[in-house]
Amino acid sequence: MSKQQTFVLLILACLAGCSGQQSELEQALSKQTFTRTNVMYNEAAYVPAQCYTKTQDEQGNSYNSCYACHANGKRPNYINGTDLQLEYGFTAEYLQTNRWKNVFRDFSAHTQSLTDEAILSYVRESNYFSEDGEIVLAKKLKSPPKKWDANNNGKWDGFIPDVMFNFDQNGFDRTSNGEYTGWRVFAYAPFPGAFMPTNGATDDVMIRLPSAFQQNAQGNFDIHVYQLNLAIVEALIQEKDISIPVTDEQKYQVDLDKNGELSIAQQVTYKWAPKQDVYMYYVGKAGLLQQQDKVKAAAGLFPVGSEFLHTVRYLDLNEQQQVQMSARIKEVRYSKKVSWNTYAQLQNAALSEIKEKHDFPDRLRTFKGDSETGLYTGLGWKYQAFIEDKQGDLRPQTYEETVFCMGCHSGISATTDLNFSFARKLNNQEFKNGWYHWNEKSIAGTAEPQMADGRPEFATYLKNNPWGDEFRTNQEVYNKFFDNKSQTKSEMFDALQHDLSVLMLPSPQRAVALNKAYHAIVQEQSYIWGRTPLLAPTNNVHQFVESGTPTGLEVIVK
Amino acid sequence: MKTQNLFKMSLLAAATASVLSGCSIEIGSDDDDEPAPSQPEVTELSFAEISVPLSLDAQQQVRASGEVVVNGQIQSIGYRKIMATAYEDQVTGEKFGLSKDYMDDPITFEDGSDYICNGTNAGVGSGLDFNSILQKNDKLYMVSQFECQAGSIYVQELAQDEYGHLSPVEGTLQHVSQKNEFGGWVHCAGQTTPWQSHLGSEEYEPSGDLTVGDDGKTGNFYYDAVAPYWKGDLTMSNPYYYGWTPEVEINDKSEAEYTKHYSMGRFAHELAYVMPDNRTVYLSDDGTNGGFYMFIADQEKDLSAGTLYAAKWVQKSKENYGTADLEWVNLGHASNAEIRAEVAKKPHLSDIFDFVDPDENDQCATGYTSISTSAYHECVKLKDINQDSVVDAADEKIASRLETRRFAAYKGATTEFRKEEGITYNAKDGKLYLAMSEVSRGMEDGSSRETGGYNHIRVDANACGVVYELDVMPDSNIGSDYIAKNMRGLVAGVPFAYADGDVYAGNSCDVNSIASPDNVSYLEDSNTLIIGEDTSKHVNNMIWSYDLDSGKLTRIYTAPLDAETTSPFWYKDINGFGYLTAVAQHPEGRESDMESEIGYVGPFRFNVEMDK
Repeated sequence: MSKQQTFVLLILACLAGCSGQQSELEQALSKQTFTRTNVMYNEAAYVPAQCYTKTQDEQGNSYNSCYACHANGKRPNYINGTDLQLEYGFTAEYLQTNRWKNVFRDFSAHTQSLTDEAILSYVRESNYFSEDGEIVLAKKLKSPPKKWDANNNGKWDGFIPDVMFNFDQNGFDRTSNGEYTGWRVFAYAPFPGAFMPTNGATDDVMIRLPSAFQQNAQGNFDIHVYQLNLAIVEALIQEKDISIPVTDEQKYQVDLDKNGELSIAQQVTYKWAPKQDVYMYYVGKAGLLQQQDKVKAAAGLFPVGSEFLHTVRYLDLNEQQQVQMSARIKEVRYSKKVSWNTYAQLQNAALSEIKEKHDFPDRLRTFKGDSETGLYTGLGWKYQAFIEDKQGDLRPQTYEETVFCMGCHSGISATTDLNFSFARKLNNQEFKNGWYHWNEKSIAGTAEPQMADGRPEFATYLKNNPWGDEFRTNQEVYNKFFDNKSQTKSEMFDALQHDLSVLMLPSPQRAVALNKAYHAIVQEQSYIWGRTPLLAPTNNVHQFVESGTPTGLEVIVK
Repeated sequence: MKTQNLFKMSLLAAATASVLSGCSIEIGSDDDDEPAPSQPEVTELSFAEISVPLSLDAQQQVRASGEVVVNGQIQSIGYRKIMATAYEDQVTGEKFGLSKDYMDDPITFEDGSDYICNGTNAGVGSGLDFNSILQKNDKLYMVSQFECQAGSIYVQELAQDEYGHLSPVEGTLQHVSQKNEFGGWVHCAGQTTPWQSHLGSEEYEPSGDLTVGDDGKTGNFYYDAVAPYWKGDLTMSNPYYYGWTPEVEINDKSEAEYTKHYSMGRFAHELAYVMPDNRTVYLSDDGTNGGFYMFIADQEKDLSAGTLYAAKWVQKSKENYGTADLEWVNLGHASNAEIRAEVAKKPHLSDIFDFVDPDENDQCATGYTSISTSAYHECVKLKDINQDSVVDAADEKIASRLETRRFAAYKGATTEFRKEEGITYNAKDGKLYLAMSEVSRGMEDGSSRETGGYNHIRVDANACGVVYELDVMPDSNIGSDYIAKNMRGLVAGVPFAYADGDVYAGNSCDVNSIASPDNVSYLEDSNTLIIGEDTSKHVNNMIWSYDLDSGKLTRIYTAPLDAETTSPFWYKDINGFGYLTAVAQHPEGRESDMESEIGYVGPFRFNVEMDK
């Protein structure tokens, strides 16, 4: 290279990089595309920052937040990640570097510039509905901006948000005309860690089954059929009996309560053992299709065509200064099951992953799809999402931003058919069998769930990770449950048993501060450096960790 | 140059790649049972070069040279599917790929699903890995093997019409029982032997130190998946049941005869490749810090007894990723019957070797041998395996086959190779070719993953891989005309960091050379070595035609993103027709139904005279 060329390159490099961090971010953002690309800023964006947590503090104390995701999956989730509780398993050299820089950054300049009023006013403004009640994204996607149109065919082929957040007394979403959108909202026990509102965000989840599950045998929409099929799915996913409204089985010709006769049923009884010729049957049109083997049912698996919608939101405050969901949406996340895989196939996929890691330790996962149609997990589901742009309007996530969804939604043992929430849905003795939105009833008063082995789920989590967030930054939670001698406050653990909100909901001050911290990320659009709002840079995360480094932990859950 | 975006072309290229994986050569032996040999003549195959796909659209398509010229003539060929996984024979009731247990009962999962060895409907997972086409009894048989724990083998008669097209014959699909030899395991690549049998491979051998605990499992998730074969009872199984070389022959009653060749050792068998003498077999060992093996059968066409050797790399130069003489370390003679008797005793690794930890300077205590293998550094001492109070040749015989890699290292052979893949032989020039998917770890001079052992191989790392060339010649001491005497880098990938914004950014190996070579296939009587990739270092997998005279590489195929093809195999003359078989998944952008299938490109006509 000539000196002149070198000089020119230096100038170019300087233009791009001389202003430090900001331009480094600009460079990283310049690689963002809506289609699959040869070069991503973070080729391993499916491995989240949580995986780089330092499991030991400087005093040598160990904290296991790993087990929540990495244990032995329940079939047909054949993924076994127990070894990841014991060592950092970054066999690919690339993975040893943590590229989630935002956990190390100080956003105080931005957060201090924002008043509480300003951020609360921001989060209270809906970016989902326009003032006249239209879904903003739906309108935009009718003629999508060219850059969003990944396959360049002039139309949007992906999911178009259509939930109206107008839930009836049974949790079914209705249009302003009273028509059903098919979505049904439900309440669930949040997943331990980052997804607890005290760690940054509120959220809600809706499910929709394909039309055959909403129709009676004649092919007409029938809300009772739909309700029953949802209960049957719930029984299959949770592998337990599910309460239903009093139902005449004669009408559906299915022995829902499995009492051996077609009578009046008050529950869907979970009894499923195909090898002993014991099956679960859907009702209505889906049931007919099931008899023709066009619809399948199995424990732990959703029907093909099932959809989930998950909105992630800010932490708003009501008049009593209690935390509630914001009108503004941080992210609209969508998933759809596109193909059926048997237990044999799912085990095959999990086993081949082990062999692939052995044969090609340096190989990273890649994903088919794009921002428009969604990214494919390879295990039957696709994922797609929308996130705030700099102005706070929702835009499709880039390819790399969507890859961020994939690690947790395929590849860990904690999910049920790749989904988190439905297996954690509240039901039976709970309010409305769990079919309600958090705005109708908050999480206050919701009892603590138990783990499969009977241990209380969140008490166990806190005892292994007293801050309640993977990065051990949530001092508010720590102070709530532990005294300054690290002793447990038993009264708080007692209270937690009967009321999850004790843990889940942050103080108003923390809620506002978390909103500001996240807003800093939105302003920068630096999601590829991490989206978890932290109130200060943390030292509890590795910037680099060699594969095979022991975590120093014991296995909490096998 | 034409570029076609056709599925068939993907197989064409893939198959082409495979051309000749050595296999080829042997069709037309002197066995009376086989077809008469055709006249040898120089075959010229030429392909137009295609470019590196740059747009996402192009990257998602199969792109292959659209013109294939054979001996100066453009030939019309196409891809044809023979059958897909889960194909059900309505007459015999057999399902293609269905695994059966040790009682030969079909295995089903709790959801009632058949244990059909196939990945998900999105194409993730393992399945059909290799098929051979055998000519026996004036018929064609296809033997297919599956890459699963409890991996099945099936045999199917094929019909060949007047145009050479192949199709399955209804009512002939048969499951090949492996129950007499403890079942099958993760079948990998294979070869059609010169004597028209199917020679397979059980890859990724389970560790011999596994023990079934109180929970009925060993805790090794990969191995424990074999439990359904034993109707859920892992205590009936043993890791030493797996990691061998199976063979399927068709007898004159059209029945499949299955053998497991314990004689050829146990390791991560990638491919067993029989030379033209019908006795000498080269065996590649996939994984990190593996050996390279050679087996000389006592008798032609009978692999049930013979002497096993492991290569010792005697380095002459580190240039070009190494030049070395190969010494063959004799691991001893054994027969299937002798070793099977030991396997049936369900041994544990601790019955075979005694282990102590190295000291802080990585030295082994007196009496222990320092070895470095896929299990990394160990200090081992051979035990009195047969418990006759002496550690002698009888114990060595057992260890040589049950723990072949460790024993080879213990005897001073080289266990430093990294990811050995395909093997092919060029009879015209007496050269054997061996693909090394990457040159790293044990092959480096003192890599961080290499303490202990010998450090025989001391070459520069090459993450893009190298195809090695080995000179083959007679050796009266060993008693074979096909002994590889040396080894040197022939064609290497080139690590390359493309700048941000470069059109080739995203490739970490130069797009104008190979990356992670996998299958290699020499076309009989030609100057063409075909090299296929299985890589993450090129954005798209490529297939290359390498001119052995000029050293020029021609890119003849690029696969769609994430698409793989496996185990293509060349048949130069089946009743006058040539075929390239290959296993493929539907590469189209489908959301489901991506089961793998076996098909072929062809029929080719290589005997030009015949066509005139």
